Amino acid sequence: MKRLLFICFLLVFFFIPARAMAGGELQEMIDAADDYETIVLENKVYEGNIVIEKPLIVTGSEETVIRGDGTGNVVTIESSDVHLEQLQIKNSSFARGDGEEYSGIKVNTDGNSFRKLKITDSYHGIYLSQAHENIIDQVEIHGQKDQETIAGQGNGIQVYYSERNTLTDNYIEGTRDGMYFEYAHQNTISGNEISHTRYGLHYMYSDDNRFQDNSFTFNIGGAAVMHSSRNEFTDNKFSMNQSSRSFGFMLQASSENHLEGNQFIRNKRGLLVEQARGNYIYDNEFSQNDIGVEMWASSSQQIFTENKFYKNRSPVVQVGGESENSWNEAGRGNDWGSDFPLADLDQNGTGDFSVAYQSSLHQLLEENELSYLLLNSPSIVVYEKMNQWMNNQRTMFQDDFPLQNREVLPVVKYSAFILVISGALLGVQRRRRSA
Amino acid sequence: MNYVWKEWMEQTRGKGLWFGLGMVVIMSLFILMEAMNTPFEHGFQSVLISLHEMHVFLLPLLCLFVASFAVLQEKELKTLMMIVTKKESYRSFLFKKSIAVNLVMLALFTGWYILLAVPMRLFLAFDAAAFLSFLITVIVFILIFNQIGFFIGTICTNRMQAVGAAVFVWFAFIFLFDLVLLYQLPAVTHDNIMIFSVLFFLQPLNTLRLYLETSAGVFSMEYMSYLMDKLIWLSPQTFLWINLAVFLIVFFEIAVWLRRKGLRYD
Repeated sequence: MKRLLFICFLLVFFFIPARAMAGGELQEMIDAADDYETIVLENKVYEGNIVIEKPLIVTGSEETVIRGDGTGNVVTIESSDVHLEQLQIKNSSFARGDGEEYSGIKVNTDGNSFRKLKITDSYHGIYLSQAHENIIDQVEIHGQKDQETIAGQGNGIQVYYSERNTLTDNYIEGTRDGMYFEYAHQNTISGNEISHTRYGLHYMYSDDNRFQDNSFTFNIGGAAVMHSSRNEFTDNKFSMNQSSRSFGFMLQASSENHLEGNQFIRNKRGLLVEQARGNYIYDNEFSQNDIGVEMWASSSQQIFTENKFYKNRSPVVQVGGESENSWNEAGRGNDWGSDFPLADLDQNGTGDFSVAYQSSLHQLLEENELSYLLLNSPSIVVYEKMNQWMNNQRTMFQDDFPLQNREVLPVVKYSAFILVISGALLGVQRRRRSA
Repeated sequence: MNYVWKEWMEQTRGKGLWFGLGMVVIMSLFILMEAMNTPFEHGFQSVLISLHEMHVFLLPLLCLFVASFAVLQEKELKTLMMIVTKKESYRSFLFKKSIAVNLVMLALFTGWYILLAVPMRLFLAFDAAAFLSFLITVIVFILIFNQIGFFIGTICTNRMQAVGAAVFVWFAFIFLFDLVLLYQLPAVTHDNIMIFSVLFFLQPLNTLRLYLETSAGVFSMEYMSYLMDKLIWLSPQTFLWINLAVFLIVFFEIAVWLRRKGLRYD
């Protein structure tokens, strides 16, 4: 009998599929813990889903995983003062017919913090729903880009009706939007890196947020700010957003936003402005974009001052008619680069005459979206010239106080290098001749 | 093998190819140095796109000159007449000549870019897959425009004619073709987008750029509009291979067909 029992035990031990840890066990550990207790998880897989309803600290190690059962949120936070650190969270539900959009971490409360997490295989990464004063720091979120429809994958971090949250140094890729804000005010977002999403940042009806030192690359659109006001965007980088109608930054139906010290490099359109009013664009760099700034006629009263425009195929295009925007403020215009040579005889840093740019590209862009595909074609230069001769061009901007161009031409910059190469070649030739 | 060795000797002794390669070398070094000063992390992809933009202007012209002059030289030295009257057909001559010139040019240009990959690997966030795609664009560039160059060399009787033809072909590909497309844009609708698509991708410069941008992860094919979706109805790789096949076969066959042009038996 004992032998039979022993054999049964062995069979059960070896042949029943091993579960990393019983699903309820992590929940039981959480339920059994006292308020503000620290739970240190081991280097293994814990089965979710779990709900945290008390103040608690949960930390893990390199390989600690909380794996959802694919039917809901993997971790739901229903209490304040919850702190999660060093965990991998995966496998939320992707169902969209339940009236709720699921996520790796769903936060319904205030004052929590989430650090050094990695979230994968989840519809949204982290979802703050009416949750205030939370901190999301150094979280890595990887979305599943290969969904059949745009709604098939959620956003990296979704902030909904939530205020005064801090999002710092997070990395997001492959989600629908990197960070999505809706009715979310006074949040601080800095040092985040977002790539391969639809919009890296998507603001809807969100005001008074601060956005600093973030980087957006290889997205369809770097940042799309819609129906939002008084947001501050400083020292961010928007680069390589290059698909057919991509943009580095879009201001749509938004007003009184402040853009300062940002870099817009190698985008299809650096800054796209539609139905926007009264935004202040100061000391930004627009370089190597197909179009530096694309402004639709529905926009007005933007102020552009002390920005640098270098080597854009077209620095500014106004589409759909002329709009009233200011290209200088208090006697300070913009630096339009070497394409607009200036004389500054009085050495006051601004040109002695105004700079105006004529173009016919607006016609193309108004007529067909496919024209964006041909913007980088050399034939655009001929097209512009032909329209110049036929008097078909329109003024895109006039800057009465253009800043003296400080850009150093590459030829000048590398003249020493050219001299060295030329000298070396001459030397080789002479040695050959003498030999 | 004789053809390849002979071509290598002729091209390396002449100065034309070296001048062309020299221009590409200097320009690519400038681009690399400029990218190293660029204040953003994705300088590598930026370098590849900039190098490609430089190729658009330099490589077609260089290939057209080198390939057409290679054939014309055979005509001028009467070696072509000897070859086709004694032992080979024009088809066989052109085939071997194409392989020889292509191999020489590919060796030099891909060799240079493999060399350039070393500093790129050291100073930029090197992406091997993107670099391989870039090399493929260089190879396809050279193959297509060399083939057109052989065609020019076949139909022209002297170098002056070849220069004129090469410059015209270069102008047509770089400026004229897309200019026509630009003027046709207002007429493009969902119904006739296929015709526009065929014309758009028949221009190798458009196909090569889209292939490079998609392969390097710069151009995303996701979330495209309905019109764009219909325009890019095949993968950029497929468009590239179709382009290569069409240009190589069509210009080779036309050149063989028009072989009598420019051959003088005096």
